[in-house]
Amino acid sequence: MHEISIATAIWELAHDYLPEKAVLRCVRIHAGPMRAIDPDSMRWAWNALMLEKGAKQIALELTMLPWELQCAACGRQWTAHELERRCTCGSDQIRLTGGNELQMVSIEVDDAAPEPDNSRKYSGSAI
Amino acid sequence: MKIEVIENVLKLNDEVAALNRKRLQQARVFTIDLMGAPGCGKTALIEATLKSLSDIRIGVIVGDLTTQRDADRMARITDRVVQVNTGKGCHLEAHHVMQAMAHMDLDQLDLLLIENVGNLICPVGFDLGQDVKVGMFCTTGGDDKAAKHPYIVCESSLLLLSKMDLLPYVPFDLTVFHNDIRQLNPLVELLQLSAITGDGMDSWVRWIRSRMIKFAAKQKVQALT
Repeated sequence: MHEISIATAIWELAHDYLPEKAVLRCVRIHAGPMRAIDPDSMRWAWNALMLEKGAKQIALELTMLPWELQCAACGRQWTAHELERRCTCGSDQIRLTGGNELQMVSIEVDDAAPEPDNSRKYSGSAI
Repeated sequence: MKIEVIENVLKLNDEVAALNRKRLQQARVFTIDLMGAPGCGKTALIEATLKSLSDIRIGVIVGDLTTQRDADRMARITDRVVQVNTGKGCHLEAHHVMQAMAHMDLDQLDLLLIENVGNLICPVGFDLGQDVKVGMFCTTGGDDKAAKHPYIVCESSLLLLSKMDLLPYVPFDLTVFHNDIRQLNPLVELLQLSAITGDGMDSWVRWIRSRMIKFAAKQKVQALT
């Protein structure tokens, strides 16, 4: 269940990039299959974190990237969501060239909510 | 408004890990992060290693969700052991190691062994400040575990296959295991051993010594430049 730790890391990193007084609306993450992130568990962990932080629902857009593979025999390069063991040329000398990513690619923010107008707070007749 | 980020999600952990690494290098402590499934024999291996390398000053940080049992086991051999309880955490993070290091006299150590929480997945992505990550499988776990856990195979400097004394009693095909590893990480070293009988322990101990020599040589070069 490393998704809880990853959700916490996403939260902290997103707030590092959040401009002052802006409101976080969405976080976009790219994850390679090597990171063994389960999208359902990730969503659950993120929602649990929102509850814990008392945050309004902030969308987590998780894009699962494919494996990047290369055949050592014929040099063919391709991507696949399953870890393929054999190249179309027949060789089983498949090398992993990518799939280890865990990146925050962007966040979506709203400008600061207007300051509450307190100027008339004490105006009007007292009850 | 969209803000482009392009940043490693675990950046904050990595920053703490870099501080750990710097502190350990200053103290000239070679550090191994030992990762493997629960019950694969990490604690037994560390116990046997402490006995085999009695000429080296070894510290141990041991991570578990709960209990002091592993630290109690190792305390019979060494007093340089710190137990970390992660509570719900399924792996050690750099800040756990930083806190544990504060309880150790690093200047009195040559080698630090970090026994990660038993887990083949979660510990792999978290840099602790170690010099090498060592991944551990066992014959009783089955010959498919390397194929099912590519991340630990790809990120480890050395893989261990433990409980070799039990190989005759379990359905474990060494060829399948080796082929899966070669396909995922053609360069990784693999040692087979049994901490209980001691078979293969000499190779493991030799590996640690040779890596420590390389580490010391690298530090000398860095000091000169």
